[in-house]
Amino acid sequence: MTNTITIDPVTRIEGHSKITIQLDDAGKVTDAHFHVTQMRGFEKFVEGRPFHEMPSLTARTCGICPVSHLLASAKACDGLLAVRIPPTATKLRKIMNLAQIAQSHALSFFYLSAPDLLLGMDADPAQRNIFGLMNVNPELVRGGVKLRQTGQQIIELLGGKRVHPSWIVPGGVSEPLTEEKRDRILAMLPEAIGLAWTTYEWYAEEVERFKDEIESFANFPTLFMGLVSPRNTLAMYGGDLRVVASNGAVLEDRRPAEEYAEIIGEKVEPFSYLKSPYYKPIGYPSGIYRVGPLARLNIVGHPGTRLADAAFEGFKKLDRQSSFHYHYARLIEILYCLERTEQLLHEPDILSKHVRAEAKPNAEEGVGVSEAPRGTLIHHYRINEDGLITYANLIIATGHNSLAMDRGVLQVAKRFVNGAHLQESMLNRVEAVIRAYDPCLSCSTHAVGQMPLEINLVAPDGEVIDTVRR
Amino acid sequence: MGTLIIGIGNTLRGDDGAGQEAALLLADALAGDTVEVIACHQLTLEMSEPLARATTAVFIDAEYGGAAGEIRLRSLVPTGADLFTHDLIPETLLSAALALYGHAPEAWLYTICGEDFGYKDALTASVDAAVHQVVARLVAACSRAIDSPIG
Repeated sequence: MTNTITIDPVTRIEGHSKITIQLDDAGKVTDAHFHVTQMRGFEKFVEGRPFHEMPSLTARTCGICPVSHLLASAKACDGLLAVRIPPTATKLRKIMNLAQIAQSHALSFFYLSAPDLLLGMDADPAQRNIFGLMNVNPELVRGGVKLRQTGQQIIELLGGKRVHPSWIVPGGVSEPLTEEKRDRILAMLPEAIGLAWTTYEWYAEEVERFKDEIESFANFPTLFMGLVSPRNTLAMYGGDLRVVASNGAVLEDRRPAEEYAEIIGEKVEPFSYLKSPYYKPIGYPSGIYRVGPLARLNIVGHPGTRLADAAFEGFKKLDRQSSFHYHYARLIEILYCLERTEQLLHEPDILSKHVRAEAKPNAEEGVGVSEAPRGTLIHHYRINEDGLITYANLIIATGHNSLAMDRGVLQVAKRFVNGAHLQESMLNRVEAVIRAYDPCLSCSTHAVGQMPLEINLVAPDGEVIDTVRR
Repeated sequence: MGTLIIGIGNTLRGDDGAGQEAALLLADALAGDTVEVIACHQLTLEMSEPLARATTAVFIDAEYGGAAGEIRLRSLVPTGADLFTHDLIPETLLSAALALYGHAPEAWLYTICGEDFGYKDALTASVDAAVHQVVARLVAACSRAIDSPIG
């Protein structure tokens, strides 16, 4: 008979989930799973709604990355309109997406994971949080706050508000950029880029301390998937799908994103509301793949901006199979996003007034794909002759990582958890492997009040033999 | 910077939106003054930076319990250090401003007791009246340029 440890909820992530760890009678880990415990149902309840409502409706999937959904949804709607949007609209959409990725990565790195990285996985949980970090390294936290503010302010300047802006619309964007706003954004960037570079340099030194975690935090071969530009650089807005194996073999290249269904299958597991996508040609579950910052940097030749390219040289020397290096990749992507924003704002047509293509539906099916902070985001719609949604499929970035997170939990639990005598720090490492992926489990359903954590180790006869509380 | 006003609330949950509604009215009424107004769904850590630049801060929020439309006012001091940032309270945000930037302003919290926190985007009449009272008090206080917004 086995014992079960339950970590519920998993903390310092976006959304609600739990982890269960199965032990044998000797207290050794035999199995572990990551469960997403919230049900959302967006794909079903949008059926029957007018297609032009989709960007606003689906943006409500999330309070952290609404811009990502807004963007993928608007792109799917562009497909329904069968229009090519004005070039300036494409650039403005790109800037908002880059700002979104930068602010989300700052939240993940500084607010959620830095307490583990700086204070240590074994630190007192009462101190191992953003407020504990303020006491030890206020400068680092101030940098994180400034980077997040910068991304949020760019979103607000473009879209009118920080959360749930409705500026990205089918056919383009609703308003052009003004000279005054462009100059305000440009004025923010040098300080932000400096902070991002300083943090990168600091972390590149620190990462050496995490040898155990690098070896065991979801460190196994999988495929990596993401969008790539024709210049073999990061493509956060457009580009084609590329799938690369851990050994560097390219399995898919220049695959139009609209053809995603030919290479991605989706499996439902009984223990989680999160679907488990897999690479179809290899099958389930061997077709396990990862998306997001680590995957993006593992499939491109180089990021594509000066400082990000310089930091990428350090990244290439790492064990790039370990999910612990999502943190490292995230810092490089913050640099890329800020530098790329600066480049786009200097484009000669960035203030053009032509930012929206007007049309009625001209196609029955549309697919929108872009890179969200956590990975490739896919929106796929079909409509009837009245423009009402008859089918919606959303493959959320976090979902692509479902299989890898589940396997990662087992690997780290086997390495660190001793069921004979539980310690909080053991379980923190199990949570931390999930945090490395920065999963977004739909944070629009906010938790209220204290997030408790209690783990009971129960003997086969039902006796509670050990408890850890947080 | 002089005064920072932060109105907090969910405008899709009835009277919970009172604080945000007050902030939106104040932003219009005080446009051009040396007062910064933030209308938000919830407090976030990034607000610690403008908070640290202020000499006076006023938070406005809805409150559960009490007669609908009842206005309460209390002064705040920096306290606490929450484990998580999903449910920051004004005292904790003041504490963050002090820890990160070395200054926390003199601060007050106005609360307006709500009655209906269901799924709706309108305030009940008594709460709406209270919102206007709080706005009038703060506009008067800010126009007199006094330190205390109790007015």
